[in-house]
Parts: sequence; C-alpha cells; structure tokens
Amino acid sequence: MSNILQAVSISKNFYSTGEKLEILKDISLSVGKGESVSIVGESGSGKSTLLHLMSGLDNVTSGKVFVNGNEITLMNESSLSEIRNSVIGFVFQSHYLLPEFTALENVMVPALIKKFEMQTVEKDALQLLSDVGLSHRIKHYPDEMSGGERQRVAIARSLINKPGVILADEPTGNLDNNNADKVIDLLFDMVRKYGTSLVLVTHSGQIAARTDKVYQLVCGTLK
Amino acid sequence: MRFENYLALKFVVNPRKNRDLKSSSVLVVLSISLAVIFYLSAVGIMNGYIDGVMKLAHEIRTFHIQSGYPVSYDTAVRSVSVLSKGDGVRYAGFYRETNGVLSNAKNSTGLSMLRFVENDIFSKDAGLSRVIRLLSGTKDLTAGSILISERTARKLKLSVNGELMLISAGKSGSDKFEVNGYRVCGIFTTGFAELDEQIAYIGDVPGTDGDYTVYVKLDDYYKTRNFINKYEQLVPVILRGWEELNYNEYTALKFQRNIIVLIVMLVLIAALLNILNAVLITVHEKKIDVGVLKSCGVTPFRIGMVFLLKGVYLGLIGIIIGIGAGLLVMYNLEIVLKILSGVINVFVFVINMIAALFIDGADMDYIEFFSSDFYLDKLYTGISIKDILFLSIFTFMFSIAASVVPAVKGALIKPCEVLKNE
Repeated sequence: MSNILQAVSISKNFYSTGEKLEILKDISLSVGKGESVSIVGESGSGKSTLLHLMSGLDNVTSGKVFVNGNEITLMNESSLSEIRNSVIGFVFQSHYLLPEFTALENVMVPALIKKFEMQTVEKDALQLLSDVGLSHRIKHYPDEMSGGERQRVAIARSLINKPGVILADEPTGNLDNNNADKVIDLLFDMVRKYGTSLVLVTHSGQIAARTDKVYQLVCGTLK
Repeated sequence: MRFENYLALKFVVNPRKNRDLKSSSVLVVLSISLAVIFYLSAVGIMNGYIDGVMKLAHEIRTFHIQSGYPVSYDTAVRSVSVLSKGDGVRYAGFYRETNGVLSNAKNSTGLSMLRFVENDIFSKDAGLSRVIRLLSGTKDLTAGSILISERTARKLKLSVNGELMLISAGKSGSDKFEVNGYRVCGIFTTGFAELDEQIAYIGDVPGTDGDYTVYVKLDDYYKTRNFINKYEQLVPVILRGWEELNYNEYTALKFQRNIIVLIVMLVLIAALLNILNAVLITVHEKKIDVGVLKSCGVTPFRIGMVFLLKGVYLGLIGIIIGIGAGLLVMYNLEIVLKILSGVINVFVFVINMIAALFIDGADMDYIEFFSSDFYLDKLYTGISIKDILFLSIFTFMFSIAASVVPAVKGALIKPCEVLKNE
C-alpha cells in the first residue's frame, strides 16, 4: 500500500523567553491510502502540532513530510496551498464554518477555491450534505444549527474536493456523547464511502480503537 | 479573482451578527459619503463663483476683447463696422463711460460707473441682456433714461419712473462738476452685489462727443488671441484680450479654488483612512476564518486580495452614496444651509444661555450662513464631470492604498496560530 502521508524524523521546537521547548522529537509515521490512523495523547502533548506539520500549516524544525509522494517541507506557500486544497481535508475540534455563509456555501468553499464554477460545485455539495443527513439545512447559517449539525457540515466540507486524506483534530471534542457518537460514526462512514485516508487525533481510546493503526504521543515521542 | 470577490462581498454585505464589522463598515461609508458631500459642495460653490465672476467680467466688465485706450465716436463706429464682421463674433459694440455719483434729494450712492450705451443695446447684445436681469420697468433705453440696479434703487428709495441726478466731473480741462437729470426706466440685478452697486446704464444720444470704448464678444472666448492677431491691423484701435485684462483676478480665483480643493481633499483623506481601520477590524475579527481558508488551500495573496477588495468596496459604496447625496445637497444648497444654520443656532442659543450663567454680558453672535449683504444674491454652484471623475478616481486609488496594510496583515496570518483547540 503506497503512502498518502509520511513523516520522516520530524521535530518541532518552540522558543519561549529564550528557552527551547521540544514539542515533537524525531517522529516518523506513515499513512497508507485508504488507511485510518489515530493519534492519542494527553492535552498539550503536541497532537495538533503534529497534524499542522503534516499538512504544512506549520513548519518543521527538522525532518521531512511527504504528501502523496511530494516533499511539502521544501514547498513554497503557493504549492502548499494547492496540496492542502486538493489532497487534504480538515475537520477541527470547533466546526470553524464561515459565519456569513450558509451550510451549502460552506461546503462549496474548498471547491470554489480550486475552480469557481458555482453550478457544478453546488451539485457536489448538495450530494455531500445529503450524505451527512443535512439536505433540509442547506440554506441555514452556522448560528442557526446545532453543534452536531455544524460538525457534520464541516465533515462534508472536508470531502468536497475528494481529498486523499482527512486530518481530524478532536472532531468530537466540543460535542456531547450522543452527538459525538453520531459524528464519529458519520466520519468513519464517509471516509469508507469515499475511500479517503483518515488521521484522527483523539483523547478517546474507544474511538481510536476503530482505526487501523493507533499511535500514542507521549512527551513529544510517538509510540 | 472571482472567489476573492465572492468572499469580499460576503464580508461587506453580510457581516452576520458581527456588530463590530457592521458598525465599522457603516461608519466608514458614512464618513466617506459626508466627506464627498463636503467636497462637492465646496468645489461646486467655488466653481459657481468663478464661473459667475468670469461670466460677468466677459459680459459687463472687460468683455472678451476691448480697445486699449478711449477713441472718438467716429473711430468707434468705424472699428465696430469692421470687427462685427470678424470670424466668430457674437457682438461688437461701443460705449462711453463716466464716473459719478447718483443722487436724489435726500440720498446718494458711492462712486459709480455710468455707461452711456446705444438705446437698443439690450436687444442687440444678448449676453449682456442675459446677465442684466430686469426686476421691473423696461430695458428699452432712450436719451435721458437710466437703468439702475436694485441696490441703487433701494439706496435712493426710487422706483421705475423715479427721477435722479448724475453728478460727474466736467469735460477734461474743466474744474466744474456736471449735474444731469435722468428718469429711471428699469431696475435690474446681476446677482453680484458689488457689481450691482457700481454700475448703471444710460441711453446715449448718437454722435455725442466723448471717450468711447470698443468691445467684442466672441462665440468662443478662448479664441481671443487669434482674433486679435487677425483683426488688430484692420482697425484704428489697439485690442486687448480678457486673459490680459482679467489675469490677476482669474489667477487669484483659481488659486482660492485650488486651496479649497486641497483642504477638502485632506478631509476626504481623513475619511478614507477609516477604511484602514475598518479593514484592520475585519482582519482581526476574521483571523480564524483566514486560518480555515488557508487550511482549505487559499494562498496568502488571495487572502490579501479579499481584504483589499473589501476596502475598495467600502470606498466605492461611500463615493456612490456621497456623489448622489452631494449633488442633491449642491443643487439645494440654500435650503440645506438654512436648515444647518437653524440647527447650529439652537446650539449657539444653548451655549449662550449657559455662558450667561457664568459671565456677565455674555453674548454670542448667531450664525447666518448666507447674508443678504453678501457679495452674491444667491450661492451659485457648478460641478463638472471632470470634477466628479477626479473625485471618484482619487477615492478609488486611496481606498486601495488604505487597504494595503491590513490586506498584507491578513495575508500573513498563520493558520497554526489561530486554529487552536479550546
């Protein structure tokens, strides 16, 4: 199985009042195409930072990251944006939907960034919203929807460009148990349906157990 | 660019439930609109004033061309017969002028220019007839009749058919005054108080001895130089153009206008600087959205363009509203000024009352924006497409300039710093 995502010996240091903080140390991991991987660890262990490094949202201190075989650590911002747009989908802990846009428009955004063809994109977005069970909410704004519904819209948004991998950063962190279960079920259903890889950051061992591989991040090191 | 435009319009038109964004945008549009209204009013008044002054100069004072020194009646008649056949001549004529004081039994005017003109001058010189607006009586002069201004009539307490005396210096070489009686045939106004007080028209007897001035009015007064070059050799008088005769006044008026334009442009720039503030607020409020958009694949350049476009749209909305409202205000300036002075005087009254509590004899002047003793009888305004184009392009360019800094700031937002878990 070829890798959609690969990190080779990556490290990340921060400097605070002149003091070096080693957040991630010599981490290597790979995610195969269609594979689901979870990263578990305590709060502040660097799970989100790892996701940011693997998607090029942040720069590594050392090491290399490959997305779909391309080394993103060498790329400029423009090429990185293209990779993020076409290969990676994000689901964050907060829904992070744009408040001025309806559910439908929010789902359309990543596709419109790639190509501004309203009608084609709208068709795909409607299908995705139907897949996540929100056909009746397409014209609603984020502030008119519940937390679970917003997160379902965010999942639909992450899939609109048919990405190779979805990076989900504690996607149920802000939801109650009932909604969390529904959203996680939906996320797994969707990645299975669309054949997308999944990197899931979570606190929950129960959720992590549903993925093909589980990594544990302890003191900046992956186990 | 279409995506950036789509986002910018969403940020401008639908700042959903974000009061900071809504109020900052409304404030920017309002301040730009007010500055544009101020600009149009100030420039419009100055343009109208210059146009009015120059129009009167062209029709009454110096004309487009006039003879450089006084000539005899015969020379004037010969010159006019040649010049009136010249290319592009609207009217050529002559008059003689004397300085004197108009008086009735009780009152008298200051020193006035009394023009002895052909009796049918107002039917022949349409331009003069247009600026000498008749209020009562007739413009048909006869020997012994005089056309005076409303101000002169008021000062002398005269109406049509009233009688007055002209006291003027005697013929050259004589140390005696001449006193002649005239009957008022009509009362006029030019709209310019100062000029009204200075001038009166008297019906002349053809062939009277005296010093005559020959004058010419052209269809296009910018062709005076060519006309003088072509015809000066054909007439026994020296010809002078309006640019030469009005140069100082015209230049001074233009200078005043330019200074006022500069001042109102500074006000406009101050208003446009609000764009910088509004777009900075947007960048601050939209930090997380920028992070999300970058995670979705929007490049920093495109993020910058979104904020730049927002600034430009705010500027454009401001100028569209401002120009519409500004033109409306300009064409109803007197009503607007009346209302404005009423409102301000309420404040003056209140301040006066408060001041009277603490200071003995405190007395403030009420503000009269437009006094009947002012130079003009009304506020003349004039705005050209060129002025509006200049204003639009300037506002547009400055909107872009004011949005650059916040746009760059927005473009440089790092997603990893704003997309943090709670």
